[in-house]
Amino acid sequence: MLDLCHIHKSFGDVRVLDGLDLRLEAGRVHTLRGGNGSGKTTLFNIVTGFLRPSSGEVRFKGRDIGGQSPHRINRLGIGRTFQDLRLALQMSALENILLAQERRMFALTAAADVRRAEATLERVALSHQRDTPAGELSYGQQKLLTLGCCIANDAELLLIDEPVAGIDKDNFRKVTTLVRELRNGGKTILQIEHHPSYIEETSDRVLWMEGGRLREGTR
Amino acid sequence: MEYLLHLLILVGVYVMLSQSLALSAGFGGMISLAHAGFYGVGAYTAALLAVRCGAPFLVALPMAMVLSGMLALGVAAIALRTVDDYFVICTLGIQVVVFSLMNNWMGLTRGPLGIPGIPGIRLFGMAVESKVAFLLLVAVLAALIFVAIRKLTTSSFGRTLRALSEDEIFAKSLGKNVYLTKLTAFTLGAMFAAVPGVLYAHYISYIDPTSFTLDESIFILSIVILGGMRNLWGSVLAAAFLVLLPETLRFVGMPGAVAANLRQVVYGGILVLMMFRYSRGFGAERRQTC
Ligand SMILES: Nc1ncnc2c1ncn2[C@@H]1O[C@H](COP(=O)(O)OP(=O)(O)O)[C@@H](O)[C@H]1O
Ligand SMILES: [Mg+2]
Repeated sequence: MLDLCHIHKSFGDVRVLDGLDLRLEAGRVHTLRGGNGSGKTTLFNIVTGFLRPSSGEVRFKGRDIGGQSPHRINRLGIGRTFQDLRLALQMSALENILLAQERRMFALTAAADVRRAEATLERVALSHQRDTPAGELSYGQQKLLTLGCCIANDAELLLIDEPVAGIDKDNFRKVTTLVRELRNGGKTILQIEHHPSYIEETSDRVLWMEGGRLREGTR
Repeated sequence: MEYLLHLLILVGVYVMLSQSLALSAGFGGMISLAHAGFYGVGAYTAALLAVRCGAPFLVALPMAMVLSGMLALGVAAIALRTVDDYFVICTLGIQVVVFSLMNNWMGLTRGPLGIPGIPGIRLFGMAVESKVAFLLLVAVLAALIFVAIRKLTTSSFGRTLRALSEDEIFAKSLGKNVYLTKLTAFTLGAMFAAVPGVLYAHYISYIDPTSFTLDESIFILSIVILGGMRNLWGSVLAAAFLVLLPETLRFVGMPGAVAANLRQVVYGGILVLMMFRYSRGFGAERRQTC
């Protein structure tokens, strides 16, 4: 599915990724752990085109995607969320989903599009907040909405950055259920998370990031 | 009565100008001080085509739109790539360049002497001569622009535009070509701004560079801001209010000089209002790092 070969990334003198290798299996949930600043988010940014690796290869379904722009990479089928919650805060929950699912540059919104977006909202348990501006949702709901945006255009590979960090119990359950559903629906997932019971409930494989590389296991 | 019609025609012109600016500045967050420049490109294109080549309105109109659009495309293609956050400064640059071309390229524009003798508009063999007929034409074109911009802003394009004005990284992560979307919005805005330029040139029959100054750009921006940036009906009302304000002041007996100054004070106030809004509003919430 996704193959990373000898990825190096430095910011100035700071080596963050140092010959990292990773191979993701289709249909599995892979969880990254590692200390603060160990380079997990940097890895996400490299895969999704927001950062270029200093060297190394990024292959998605056999195709070299290194150096492609973020929007191209998304359109190839890689969706992501951000650790620091990115949403169009002035737009309603529904509109955020519509935005995410639309592929054409100029298209009027048909009733079928709205129904599809509503179905996505339902999956992330936000139907009751359909018309609430994203900026007025609770933190947990915003996290759910970013997951909704991430899955709205049917990406096959999902990169999810700390989905349950800092959220309440109720939304924790919703995220856990959603990620399990996504896995059962055949999505490939790479996620960053530390929460032990969440990892337990969702992950097929856990990887530990240290010294700019990954190794199998939780520590 | 004639004077009232004249004022309504001017309101129509500013409605078109503010609607077209609302697309890029309001929805796309690309604050521009070049709008009078594009308006002027439209006016000069129509004037020169009519006076030198006898080109009819229906030929001059699309040509003016294309020319204005090409200028916008060329400048924005560079500005949006290189100096993203200083975009407004670039637009100031375009405005200054366009104005000085109008003012100094004697061979083409006759500089400050302007272009006199621009003929009226003929449509389908009929002369649009009376003010009523001209107002009707202005109203029809303003309505077309309004509908076009409404469609654009409520489509997926408009949604992307609003989203990227809040958070470009978010928009990119959802597969949106941020650069292309901004470029398109800015270009379309400039193309629409050429339409009132063409109308104005034919209407006034004499144009010179003083109608297309930086002050004029600021005035158009003030309308959009007063209208609420992304509110198309708001822009219509604001255009009417700001165009009619000085006339009303004069009508209630305020001396012309005082009224003119008061007008400046009002625009200044609106700009300050904008700074206020932006320092707390969506401009400030934009984040650029991952
Ligand atoms: N764009 C950037 N520019 C400079 N340094 C960065 C950038 N992104 C991340 N870093 C640095 O790289 C290191 C790894 O950061 P990050 O990948 O966010 O860690 P993690 O997600 O594992 O906590 C940190 O030291 C961080 O300061
Ligand atoms: Mg991180």
